[in-house]
Amino acid sequence: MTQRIQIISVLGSLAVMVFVFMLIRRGKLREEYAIIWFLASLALIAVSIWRDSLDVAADLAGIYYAPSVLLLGVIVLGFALAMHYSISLSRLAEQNKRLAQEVALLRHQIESLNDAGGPRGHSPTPVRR
Amino acid sequence: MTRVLVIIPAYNEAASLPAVIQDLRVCYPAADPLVVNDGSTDETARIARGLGVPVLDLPYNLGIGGAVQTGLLYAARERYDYAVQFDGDGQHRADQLAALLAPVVARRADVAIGSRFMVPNSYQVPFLRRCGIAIFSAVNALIVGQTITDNTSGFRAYGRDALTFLAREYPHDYPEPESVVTLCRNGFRIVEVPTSMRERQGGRSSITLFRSIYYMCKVLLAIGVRATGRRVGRVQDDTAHPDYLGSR
Repeated sequence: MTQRIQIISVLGSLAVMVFVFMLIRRGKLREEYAIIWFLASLALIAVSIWRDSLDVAADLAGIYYAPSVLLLGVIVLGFALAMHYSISLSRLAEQNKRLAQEVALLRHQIESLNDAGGPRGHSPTPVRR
Repeated sequence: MTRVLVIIPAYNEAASLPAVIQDLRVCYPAADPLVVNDGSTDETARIARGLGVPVLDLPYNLGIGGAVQTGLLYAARERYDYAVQFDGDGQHRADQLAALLAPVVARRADVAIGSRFMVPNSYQVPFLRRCGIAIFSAVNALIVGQTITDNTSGFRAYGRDALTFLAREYPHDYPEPESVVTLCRNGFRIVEVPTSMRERQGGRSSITLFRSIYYMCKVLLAIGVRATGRRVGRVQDDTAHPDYLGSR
């Protein structure tokens, strides 16, 4: 019984790692985010193989019911991830705003250049090859 | 020759824009108007261009803070001496512009804010909004030690130092009360100038009743953070990209 759940969780963790690896290969996931998922799956594998680690951690933290250590860990990880994404989103929003402002300023500059007769030899007609 | 840029943030203000521009040209012809089109879905940009006013077209709606900051960036790069923030909905009066600029030009202040509440009974403000404004006034007075009667006013004049600073550091969605704290914390001198304003000529206020509570919370939080936050330091004029200026 105990072996069966160990095998399932090790296989599940490995599946996550393979999935993350595939995503990186296809260029759909940046490495900085992948690292978190790799570490999480590694931690899960470690806990699956060395089950007593939960009891040891529970003892150390003074937690009576050992499996709740696992839940606590998952919740902390989820919280940390959500925080990480909030920070990333805020940074992206700021950069996005700056980019939009630059686009507006550059567009205006192009317009005024065109109005002033435009730079000769830089007409927007596509070059034939 | 000092140059004044009048930044007009406009989000779907096609109806009121012609009168606003006309008003500015009659009352303060020395200033250069600039329309910042904040992703309007109406004819705002076309109408402004038709009036011969330079237009900065934002690719999508950034909100009032982002729009005004775009104008401030333009002012900083084009080496304007003063920038005035002027609503596109016809609320602000161009005939008050000279009075607003006066303390900044005389170097008595870095920033001048047009206040509706220094002229008795000149402007009817709904009760709830008046309450909100009173709260901002009290909170900001506590933090910066100066009573600003109209923190939400968007009728403002900036000197060169202040506009360069704000081109880098300008708050997001509802910037006015927050920027008062940021400016004071960074050593800019603010004065208020009595101003009368008109009722809106067209469009709707960006602050509806439903969003007021969220607005209050967000701005008070931002003010609190600003009050404890770092001082950014006054002027490092890094807004001007050398290539941009070189091409002029």
